[in-house]
Amino acid sequence: MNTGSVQTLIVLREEEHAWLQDLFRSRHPMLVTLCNKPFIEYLIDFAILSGSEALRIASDSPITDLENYCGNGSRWGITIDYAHILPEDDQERLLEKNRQFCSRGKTMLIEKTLFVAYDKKNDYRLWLRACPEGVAVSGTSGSITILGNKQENAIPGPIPGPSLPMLLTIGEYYRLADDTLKNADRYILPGYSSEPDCFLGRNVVIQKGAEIRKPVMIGNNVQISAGSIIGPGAIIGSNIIIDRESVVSGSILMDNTFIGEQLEVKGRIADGSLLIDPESGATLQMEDPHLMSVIQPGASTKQIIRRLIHALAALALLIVLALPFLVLRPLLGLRRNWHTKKRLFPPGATAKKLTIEQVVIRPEGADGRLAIALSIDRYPSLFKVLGGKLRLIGHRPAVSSDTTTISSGCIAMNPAVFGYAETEEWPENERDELMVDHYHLLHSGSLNDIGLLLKALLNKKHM
Amino acid sequence: MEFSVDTSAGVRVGVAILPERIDAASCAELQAAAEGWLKQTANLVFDCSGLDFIDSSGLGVLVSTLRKTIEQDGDLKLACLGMKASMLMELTKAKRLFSIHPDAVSAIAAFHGGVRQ
Repeated sequence: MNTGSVQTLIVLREEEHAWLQDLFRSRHPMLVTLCNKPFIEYLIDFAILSGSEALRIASDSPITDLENYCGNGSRWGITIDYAHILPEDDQERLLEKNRQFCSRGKTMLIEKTLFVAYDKKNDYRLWLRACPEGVAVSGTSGSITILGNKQENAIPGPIPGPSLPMLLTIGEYYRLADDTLKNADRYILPGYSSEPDCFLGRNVVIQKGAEIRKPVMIGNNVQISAGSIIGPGAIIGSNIIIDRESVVSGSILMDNTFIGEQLEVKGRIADGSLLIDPESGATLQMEDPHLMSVIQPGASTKQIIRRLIHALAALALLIVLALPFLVLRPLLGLRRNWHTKKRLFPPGATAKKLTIEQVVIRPEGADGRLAIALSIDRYPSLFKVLGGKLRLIGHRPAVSSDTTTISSGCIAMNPAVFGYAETEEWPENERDELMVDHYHLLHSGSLNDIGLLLKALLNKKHM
Repeated sequence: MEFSVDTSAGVRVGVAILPERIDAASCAELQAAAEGWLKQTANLVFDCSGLDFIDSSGLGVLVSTLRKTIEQDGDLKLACLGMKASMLMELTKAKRLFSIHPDAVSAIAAFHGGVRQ
């Protein structure tokens, strides 16, 4: 065993921070920002400050968005890889599965933790060396366990370690953000800071007459109109427009939020069109876009091309299947073999939701079997591909049960008419299907999608 | 919408119970009703205990009714304002315009003496 190296194993379980995901538009909890920095980055910072050379994120649910964000860790100069665990895996099983990773040396196991309160001025390598094997830090919100630290020459004396602040409610999130902003010198925070308590991102336009009061943090691509007052205690995310003569103080504006003119946001969290009172947890979904609304980030060229290819393929399918649909649909209706089911996507979503009507055809009679073979059940959904609301192929929720286990925002935000899992014959349950979906969502491109679509159409499973 | 006239404060106070939702679709109904109530008295109390959602058009009707009551030397007071309505009124700064009371009884009592609070 190489006792010199240190690695960090971060364990994510879907159920642990579901409240945060539900609240913030189905984002993965680790990508929710605190002072304009995703939670995962605080954990990465701490792993680096502790001398970790490698970091593994083990999750019991698909984490496509998180993987896309963190990549291989080269941005931070650390190696990041990913592992899958099962929800029922206990610590022993977890370590067994990651034995090779953990056997390289000392391992810092971070569980149930969104945020580690560290001080960048401290040397956590010394702290780690001094920590005996076992739980080093624990709190209501998680724990840090040290494994494989059997060195005899542990350094005596008190060495300040990190702490795990309680983070179970939106009120605690709000207070933590405020505390982080006030103690900004402890953390590595994004933005340019020429003076204490003031952080500015890139492409920030502050119009004449607008006033900025410290402490304040402003993200990238922000426009603050004339007569507005920002701060004190304001955390403004990225891609934000604050219209004229509005006041934002003691508040957090999450990314992609528009604040209308002459409004007063005090002691609140605003996320798109959602306004949250952190103290009571009350939420108000705005229906007036001129007051507050979501700023939709522009799609990349790659995404536009992919959408266009999907739309063209959907149009071709609509034309080819028009006649069979017109013939079979009334027959199936008469024989009561055509059933529709409305589903909210992602399941349980309160914001950014999409209602999908899925058709179930009973494979009874020649018409039923033919309709299934021709994928007539997908015909009505093809129109949503033209409108850009659905992908032609991507993730397709199972129609078999109402209680789907899919609730991870990252994968669920690519709903489609055909599922990648339908290209394979081996998936036996929803978990298998998720694995296939997950793989192709990461690796497939626009043209691959068409090949996979043909495979899904021809797959004898659906005949 | 229920409406009654209360005279316990020594003046005629019209008390209206607002519906669960006041938005662009339903605000015209409130506006028309308010016109009728104003013919009976310029002192109004809107009981918001059942009000769960209000948007900017609904808020516009409240402000417009308030303006009309003041023009007639009366007032419009709000009672039992819920959290969601309160958040919207704080956001738009409309909360500063109204006198807000925890319940309809205290709102009616506030008309005693005829001074706008």
